[in-house]
Amino acid sequence: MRRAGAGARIAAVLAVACSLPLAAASPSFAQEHAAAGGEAGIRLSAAAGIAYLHPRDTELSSLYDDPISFLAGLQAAIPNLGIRIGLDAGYARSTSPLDSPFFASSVESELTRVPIRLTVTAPFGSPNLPVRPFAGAGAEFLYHRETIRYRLLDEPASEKDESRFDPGAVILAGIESRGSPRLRLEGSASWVPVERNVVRGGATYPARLDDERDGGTLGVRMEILWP
Amino acid sequence: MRTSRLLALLLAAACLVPTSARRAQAGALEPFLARLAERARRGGPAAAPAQGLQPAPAGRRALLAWDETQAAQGRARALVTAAPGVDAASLEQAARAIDPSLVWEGASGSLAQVTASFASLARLAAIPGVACVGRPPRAIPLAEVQSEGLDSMRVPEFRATGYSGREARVGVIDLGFAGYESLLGTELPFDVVARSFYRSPSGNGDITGDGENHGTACAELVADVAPGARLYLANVESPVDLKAAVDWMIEEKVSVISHSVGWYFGSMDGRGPINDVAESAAKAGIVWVNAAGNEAERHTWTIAADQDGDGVLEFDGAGDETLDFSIRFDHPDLTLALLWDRWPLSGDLGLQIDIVDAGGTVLASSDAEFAGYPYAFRYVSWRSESPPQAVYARVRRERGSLEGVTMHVFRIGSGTRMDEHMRTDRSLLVPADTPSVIAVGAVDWRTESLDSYSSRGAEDAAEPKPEIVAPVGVSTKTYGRSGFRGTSAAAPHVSGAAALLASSGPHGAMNDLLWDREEIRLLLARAAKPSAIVPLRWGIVRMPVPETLRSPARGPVLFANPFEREARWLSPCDAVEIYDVRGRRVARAGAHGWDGRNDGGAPLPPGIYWARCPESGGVTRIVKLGSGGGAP
Repeated sequence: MRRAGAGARIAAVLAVACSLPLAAASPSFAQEHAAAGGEAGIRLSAAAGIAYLHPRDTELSSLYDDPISFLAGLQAAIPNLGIRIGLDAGYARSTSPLDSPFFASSVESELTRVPIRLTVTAPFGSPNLPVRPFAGAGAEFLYHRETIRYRLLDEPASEKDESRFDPGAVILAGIESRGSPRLRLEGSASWVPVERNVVRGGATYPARLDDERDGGTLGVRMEILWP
Repeated sequence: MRTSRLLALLLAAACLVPTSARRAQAGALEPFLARLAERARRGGPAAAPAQGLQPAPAGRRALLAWDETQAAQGRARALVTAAPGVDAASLEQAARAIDPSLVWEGASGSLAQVTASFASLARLAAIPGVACVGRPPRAIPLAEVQSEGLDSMRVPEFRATGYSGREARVGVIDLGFAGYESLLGTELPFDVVARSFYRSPSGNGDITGDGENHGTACAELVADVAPGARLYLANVESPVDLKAAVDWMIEEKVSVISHSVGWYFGSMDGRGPINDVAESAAKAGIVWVNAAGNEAERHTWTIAADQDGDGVLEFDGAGDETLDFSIRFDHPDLTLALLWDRWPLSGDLGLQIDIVDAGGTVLASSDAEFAGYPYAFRYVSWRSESPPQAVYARVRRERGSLEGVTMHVFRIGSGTRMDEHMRTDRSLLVPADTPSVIAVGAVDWRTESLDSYSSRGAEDAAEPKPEIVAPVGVSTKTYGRSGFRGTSAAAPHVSGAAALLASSGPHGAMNDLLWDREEIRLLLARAAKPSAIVPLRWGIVRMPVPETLRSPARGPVLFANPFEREARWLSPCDAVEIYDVRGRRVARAGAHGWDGRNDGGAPLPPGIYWARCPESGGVTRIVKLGSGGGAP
């Protein structure tokens, strides 16, 4: 895994995440908040929902099903700046048979993906619209855990795990209803560089590849926020 | 399929068709170089193309030259073929004009050789008068040497299932690798990693080990068995060198260490500093494969005793206090090593070994070099000036108690043997005697009979050693036809087998799994052919191969895997059925290949499929359709 440049990449992603929405944000959110007699400060919301996250990695996509993810998150609205900062985590698990030699049986692999997103969004458009459009960007930290189960020469079943965090970037846009609770519908695209690894016992190292590879997801999310 | 073949034919013909019309057209650029040029045009980092576009996977013979050093700098060496009637030398000026960094290396007739940046390759091909730009053909030695032992091990059948050792890393630790560079790309993979710890624990020694080529021959055999494995070569001289080399290999995450080397430095029952080094590798998950030793006929051992109290130890219950040797003209030297099982230090017991004549006169004694030496190790060497001559060896007690002590005497030197009291058991050299190490004995590749010199373990051991025996008397480029005998040749066969097995773990997901140490040992043990030729823990080395593959019925033999656009194979059946990973039949292919489409003609997504030959016992092969998908 290319961990050496991860710090610099995260810094760049966060810089973009912060600057994009700030540059693009209209004053609509702050105006709306002020018009409603709100106070400057931070207002917290909780979110829960579901998402369909389609892996951009075609090989993984063909190997594993693309199940619905479950989401949970927190959102902090900062009216003075006209932005919202969101922290979301998803959870998806899928299972697939795996190619293996004849002396291994019951071979299956299970992939658990937990995308954790730190995003900054800003609403735009007229405050008079029945729904509030928004756009944003942020960082995605994709936690993968792959478990491979098998029986070798009919010996008792064995299991090997490999897990890691890969940092990347995400952009998103969507609409949100007004009132409380609010319904939020969002589309997103993330880019998380992923390398295939070779795992032997406790040793893990990058697989030799004939092709380059990246990862990430294309997703649609629906969630409800309180208040 | 037809389209791609036609394109390939047209491209190949591009350099051959001498039409005047072609002179005005752009020259052809070899597809591999064209991909590099395209990547460079898209603005990829200069060195990146070399990483993702290996021209020849490790272990596959490369007929076209490729310079990794140049590629790392975003440059390639190319052969420029001039159009008919054009002198290649006349193209120099135009070539330099399109790329100031281009190096014109020379020209001969219609051919010129240059090194140029990836980005300029397409423009180079477009120069008027250039017919073709491609990698230069690479000269190869005419004789490729492969071990004769592969067939009996069932290596071809196992490799036909798609495993070549790819992703497995095999370390070869030996004394020297002289001449290995000249075998890269032919007898050895293109990209081995070599580091010398020879008299240099910091890893900056002489990789040839003062001209020794034993390691090169061993590496050849590993590559014969597992051509896809990545080889790590390290040479050593001393125990500290060895420890440094093993630490490096642990750091490099090798799966298998092949050590066709023996040390006279340990208790001979699995304890000692060298054994500790081997154990440290095992603890790191490495399969350590070691030559058992060639000492069976040059060895004796006994429970140390001095029943008559004269200070000289007996070699049998009858009170014989000497080992008799007949010194011959062809072997005038007599060198003996004495070891006993007091390790790491034997401060409480000192023994010495003498060589004496019939009159009891001492001809040579270990006293000279080993008086007060703390290790339980002595040796003595003497040369006869008037062979043939009868001489005798005796072991003296210098100090301490003999209680519970076992001692070994080895005669050193190939072609020699113990003339009296020879005992073949317990003759394993260090570290083959280590419990976690796979000790490998030697059998002739033709007969699979045990070679008499092959060292073996204790006859009454609960877990006998050697664990396994493997073919010797095989051919290598280094040692010539049938020229590599000894357990040194046997061990690399097993190391290669271990690499093949390691790489056969479940593949295709985010993580490819290599079988780990215990799993490889289990597979080797279960597949070995039982044999009573000597007490063996496992048997004669074999690759695990399904019954159906052992019969004449054979499945499709794949030429390229993974593939894009078109998979080709040799198949004994008229049609091959294609299944997806869930076991659903998705396509029916011809006897020679598959274009990645389903029965309806639609391209199937990239992924893993099985090619099944229903007429020959349902033998299947794994087919991996690459990211480029099936035929367009």
